[in-house]
Amino acid sequence: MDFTSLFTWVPGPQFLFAQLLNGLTRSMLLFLVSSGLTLILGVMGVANFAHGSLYMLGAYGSFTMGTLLGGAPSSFLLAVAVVPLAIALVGGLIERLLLRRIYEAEGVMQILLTYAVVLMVADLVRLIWGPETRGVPKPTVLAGAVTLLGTIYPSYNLLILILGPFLAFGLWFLLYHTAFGKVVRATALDREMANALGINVPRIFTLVFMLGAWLAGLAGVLTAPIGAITPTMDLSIIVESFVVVVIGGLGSFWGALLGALIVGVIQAFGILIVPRMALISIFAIMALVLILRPWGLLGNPRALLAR
Amino acid sequence: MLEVRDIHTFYGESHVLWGVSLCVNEGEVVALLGRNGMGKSTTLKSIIGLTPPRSGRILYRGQEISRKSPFRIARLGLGYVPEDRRIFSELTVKENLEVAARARDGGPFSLDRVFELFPILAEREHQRGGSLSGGEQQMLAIARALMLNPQVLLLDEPSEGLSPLIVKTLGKQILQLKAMGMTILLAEMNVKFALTLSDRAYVLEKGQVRFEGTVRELQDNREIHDLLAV
Amino acid sequence: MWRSGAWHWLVAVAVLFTLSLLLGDFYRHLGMTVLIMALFALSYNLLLGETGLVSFGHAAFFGVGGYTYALLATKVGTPALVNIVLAPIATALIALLVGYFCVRLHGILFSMLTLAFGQVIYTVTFQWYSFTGGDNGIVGLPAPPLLIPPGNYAVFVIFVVVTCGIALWRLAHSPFGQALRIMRENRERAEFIGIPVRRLRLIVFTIAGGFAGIAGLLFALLNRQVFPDDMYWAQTAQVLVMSLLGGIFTFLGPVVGAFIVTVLQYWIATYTIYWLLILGTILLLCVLFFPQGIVGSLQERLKHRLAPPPSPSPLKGEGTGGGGLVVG
Repeated sequence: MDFTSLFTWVPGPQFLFAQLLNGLTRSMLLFLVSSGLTLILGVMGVANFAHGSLYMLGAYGSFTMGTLLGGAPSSFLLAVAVVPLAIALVGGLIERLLLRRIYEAEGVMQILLTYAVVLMVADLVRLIWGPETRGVPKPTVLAGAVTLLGTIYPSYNLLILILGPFLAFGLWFLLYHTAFGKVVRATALDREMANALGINVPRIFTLVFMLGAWLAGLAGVLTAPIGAITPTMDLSIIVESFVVVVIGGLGSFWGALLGALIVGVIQAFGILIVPRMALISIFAIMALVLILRPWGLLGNPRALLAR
Repeated sequence: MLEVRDIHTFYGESHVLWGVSLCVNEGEVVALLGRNGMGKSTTLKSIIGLTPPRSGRILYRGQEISRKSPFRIARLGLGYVPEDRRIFSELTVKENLEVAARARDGGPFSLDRVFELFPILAEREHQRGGSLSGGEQQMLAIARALMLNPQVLLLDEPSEGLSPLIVKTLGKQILQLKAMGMTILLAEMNVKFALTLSDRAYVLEKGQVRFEGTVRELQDNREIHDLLAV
Repeated sequence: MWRSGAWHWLVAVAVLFTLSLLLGDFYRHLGMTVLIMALFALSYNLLLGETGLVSFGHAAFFGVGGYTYALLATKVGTPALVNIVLAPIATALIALLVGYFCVRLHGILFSMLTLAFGQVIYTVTFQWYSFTGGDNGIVGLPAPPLLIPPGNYAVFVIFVVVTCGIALWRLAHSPFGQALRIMRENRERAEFIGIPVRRLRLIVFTIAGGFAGIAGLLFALLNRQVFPDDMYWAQTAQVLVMSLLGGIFTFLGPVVGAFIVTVLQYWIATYTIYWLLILGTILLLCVLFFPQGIVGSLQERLKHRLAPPPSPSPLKGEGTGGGGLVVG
């Protein structure tokens, strides 16, 4: 009996490798969004539902940038440089004008506020850019593909795969080896005490929120050339990001990375098995984590009680 | 230097301080005494702005600080060392200290100076704050407040939960700070400890000042002595 | 107690019935939508206002109520009356299942999980074209002949909604409701005094889901069709705003909110399609400036005018809305 014929449905190793790379690319983008989300959650105690909206605005922002510059080759670089900053600004406005007013209120109100922003942005996006799916071309220099271990893989994705760890390193350095990072971590641990020690906690909050927004906006810009820009992309990313944050641990930086890796890769392979409902596969993992280890893989059990 | 005038502080709707007034002059060590729950910690928290008073005034060097944010009050020169220390457990000793450092025009306290005063912290420089013993954490908490180069130190029950030997060392260190000219407001349950360090004392009972005077006067006062159950 | 409940029931039914006779077709349809949304909002506020649970997936139960009836009617062919009874039961069972996982978590985690579940249910409905008809929905639903004339159906809706409303009111005023409010205020304190928090949460989640299912069923019968949109997350947003706008710490708040939001939606629809923007703005303004909602702030005003100046209470940390249900 020829056993190998039983397994013809199993994709070849090159295909699997490509899927793995796809998963990792997804992970990197997911990490960018989730790290901002977990940072805001850890430092400010705010579950920022609007994070997906910021990501979406980043993608649409790069679309607008592309149309404004008429597809010039440098438009991508410009978008990467400018758009996340603009999103950071939007984040800063949201924090200063809206969030700041309700820090004293019950946690429920904070969730509802960011949810209100989600609703508004969802329609604003439709208003400004229309309901059609938009797209952004890849920068010409990266439009091609490379051969890796016998697999042909898009160069652009490779960029993200390389950029991801760099940004992770940059974030890590910022948080653990700069004065700003120390202050942020101290504020995350005990914001009252940080305040009593002369740390301008309100300003830290604004800066952290802006940093999170910047990361989300950057993720949006980077996703634009390879994903569809639609008015519902905020919903899918926010659910995924929260799954990542839950799996990794609320407020944990490394948790966000680990969670993103897990979710990205599982989703890439989940699509092969259950094509239209990959959400269920990561959802199953989240449910498992929540039942067995609700503070996440790398989270702090005590932190859960505080929330 | 520090003046508290008739403050009323609430926790939600719970009226905790009922018209507390006190003052601390430059270079003094003033003790704030009273049994548990009488309002000592709340008074200190009101001064540093964590639980601002609903009415009344707090003046630091003549400047009104009662409605300011805690970080502004701290930057003006008040160092707060809370009950249960509240050091940043995930940060190293060094990071704990660095986080509080402010560039205040040439104060006497720098990282090196603080390590001189508390040599045990120098040994543990790169250790996680949470791994320190109770006594070490207390020293770290004080050292951290000193990094602000404050002119007034607010100490909330520093001897709590510490062994008598450590308390003794702590006392010496506080006296050292006093010798350096630091003004200190010391809230304590351990009356004996507090009185060996202080010049004057206030006694709080149910959120009100029941006694104020020098240490001598306190020791002579039978009624207050009993009140403190010494 | 039952006497006052029965009295309220009679009055409400009589008033609404009279109104329904006076209104023309369009307004009667609108009125029924308002009543159905009021029931939906009341069920939602059972979670939000009473227990402090922010669910982002409640619309799923609304949709499941309608879809169960639709699927039973079109695929299985059981008699309409049977379907009407089965729909809420099925919804409650699904709520029980979903709730089983969700109530283990608190705060934001709970909310996220409800969103995730809601999305899964929506996606399944949307994608499973062969079974549910996907985004074409299921139209032309059969209804029991007695309920086909609009006037008759109006009576039915009034009857069901008021009865459910009274039931919810009784629930809120019972020791069970009291326990819920304690859980909302301070979960730890509740556990400390022996309240089985997780179990009660599961019970209230199931009940809320069940009533949402009834609302969904009524809605399906009103329009004789169901669509996946009925269970989209924006539908939850709507009922959330209804509750908050009306006043989450009052019983009638969600009803008032349902009225305003539904009427507003119909009115705005003639001017713009950007309903979410309006809804979001209302929510934003409520959260920032108006957290007690309309009925809530009216109550506050009345209290201040009637009651003597309050003396300081010995209890710590009483929130502004902590009074819970005051007006029935």
